[in-house]
Amino acid sequence: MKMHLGTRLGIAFGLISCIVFLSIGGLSYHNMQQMVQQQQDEALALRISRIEIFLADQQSFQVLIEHPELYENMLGQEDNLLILKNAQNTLIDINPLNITIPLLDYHTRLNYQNNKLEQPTTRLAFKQVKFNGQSYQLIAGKQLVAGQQVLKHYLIKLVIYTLLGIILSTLLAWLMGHYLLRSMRQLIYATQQISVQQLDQRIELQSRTIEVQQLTEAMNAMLDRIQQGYEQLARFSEDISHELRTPLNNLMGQTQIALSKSRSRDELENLLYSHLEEYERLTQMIENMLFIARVEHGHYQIEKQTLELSQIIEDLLAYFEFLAEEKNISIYTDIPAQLNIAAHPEHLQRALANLLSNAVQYGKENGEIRITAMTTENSCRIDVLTAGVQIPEQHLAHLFERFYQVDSSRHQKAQTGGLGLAIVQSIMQLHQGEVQVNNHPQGVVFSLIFPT
Amino acid sequence: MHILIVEDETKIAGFLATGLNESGYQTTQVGNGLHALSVLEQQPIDLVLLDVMLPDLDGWQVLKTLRTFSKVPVLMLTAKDHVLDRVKGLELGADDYLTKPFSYIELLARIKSLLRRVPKVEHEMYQVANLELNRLTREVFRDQQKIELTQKEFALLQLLMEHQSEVLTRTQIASLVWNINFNTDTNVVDVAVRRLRSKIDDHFSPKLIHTVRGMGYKLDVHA
Repeated sequence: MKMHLGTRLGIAFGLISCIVFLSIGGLSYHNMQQMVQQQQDEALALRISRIEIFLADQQSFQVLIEHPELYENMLGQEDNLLILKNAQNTLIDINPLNITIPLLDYHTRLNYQNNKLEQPTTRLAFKQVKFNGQSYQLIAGKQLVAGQQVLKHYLIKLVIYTLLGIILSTLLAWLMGHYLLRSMRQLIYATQQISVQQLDQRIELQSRTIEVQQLTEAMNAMLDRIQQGYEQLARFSEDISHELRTPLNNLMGQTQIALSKSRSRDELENLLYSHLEEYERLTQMIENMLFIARVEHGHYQIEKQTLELSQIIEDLLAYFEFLAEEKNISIYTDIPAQLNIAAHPEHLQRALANLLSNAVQYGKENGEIRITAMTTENSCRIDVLTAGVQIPEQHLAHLFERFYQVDSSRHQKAQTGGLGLAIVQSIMQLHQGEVQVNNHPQGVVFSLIFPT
Repeated sequence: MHILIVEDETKIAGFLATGLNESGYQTTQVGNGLHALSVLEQQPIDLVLLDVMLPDLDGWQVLKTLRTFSKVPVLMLTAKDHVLDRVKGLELGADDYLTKPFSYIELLARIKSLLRRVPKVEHEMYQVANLELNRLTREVFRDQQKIELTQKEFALLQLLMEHQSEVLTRTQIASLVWNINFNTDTNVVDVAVRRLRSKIDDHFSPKLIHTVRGMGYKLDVHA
């Protein structure tokens, strides 16, 4: 069942106070009961001892036996009872309410018993006493009604106070909960105000409750991430529409112009060839984008193999040697022999190929490229240095974004349409590693860092 | 050779049929799986081009049923490039797998290799016009002149000569010569072919390496 936290607190407090109040009430009632009983018993004991003293005197003993009504008057209240008897007869029998007295044992010590035969409970105290060599039984009694009346009043008050206490603490807890949770409500309100159009908004809330403060910070951090992702996605959709629209526009325009009048066979053939190249580019771009999108959505799972890095790099260098020779670029490698790396072979090859391809493409004529690798405690790092080239700092953070172009005026786009480094990043993401780029005095360095 | 094209998109089926007919194959087109199975039961078919997304009975089910009575080579065509799909296709008994959009040249090359029932014999010597390549001694002669080639140049020339008169796409060349099976931002193949040409073609005639625009390269006596 859904309910407010304040209400929940109220209910919880109500339950807690129920338990606490009831146990305290129960205990104090129990104590009270015992106290009343003890007082009563003490009064009866006192009476017995008084009579005992009284009876010790021979003269007053005789008077009392002959005129029991004297003592009856002395006792006053109707529910008081006093009996003195020996084995043969009852000497004193003050029993105004005619309480049926059960047969009581003879004891020299004072004893108590409750008598309940279809009458209000009467507490009896009895004792065996001896006078003049004769054994008597002395019984004093008093109805419990009065004591019980006191207890009953006490109980009623106790119940009322307990109920009041429970209601009060529940109410206070509820109010307190609502009061303390007001910053939470503010947070909810502030969160509700954030829409997709205003992702740059942040929750500005100062709360002295640590949890609310933490939640606010967590919300803002989440907003940062969402904003970043959303903006990237928005830019991506824009880029992709642009990237697709331009070639489609060319294809459409060229076709329409070609069809607007009769063309020679050669002209038409040329047009088709040009189209074919454009289609191939589009196909590659779509494949690359699908790859990136799938990695980002976690659709890919790779099986890592242990690969000998020097072998992989040797194969790649064989692929790039002609290109490097064209620009007279020398490629040096410094890979520790037996350096093994856990990676998906084709993906590792592809990431390195994209870095090398950039290095050759943007490297200086007669320049050099250095590939080095080393292992640290928990990672393996491959650096690709393009000597003599620096990338302006403001671009570094964006290099791995899709379609990002350092030189926006560059017309001739790379075949992957500016996706090469984005693919490198996706591949590293697949390997739980990362790619970094840094300007060094010698040149720009791209680093692939694989966890080991 | 008779190829069955199982494809519900008539435009694709149409151009495949045209292309394959022009390449010398007889073709039959069907648009759904049940029809495909009945054709396969009744006619001798040498190869099946099977689209995965078909109405009613999909490509996987057709393949499964087909494999209960026939071993005809099957090349799957699909728009979804999932590794799992590829694995599933091969497990169910497909012989090859291509993702749309595919290059027709590539498709043709795969069809040829599937139909080549006998494994291709690797010759010791290849000769086209006055160009000779000896696979064992790793020597190349053009017009009786010995020509020095690097290892990869030699591998490229051997590949072109093995597939004389066939167009090889850049993707195929990158894969077969350098074992690079993905697209890179670079035109390595073009550079490599240019270098090979400068050694074996530029100072000789007839020109043997031809650029097929928009498709790739081929080695032949005639353009």
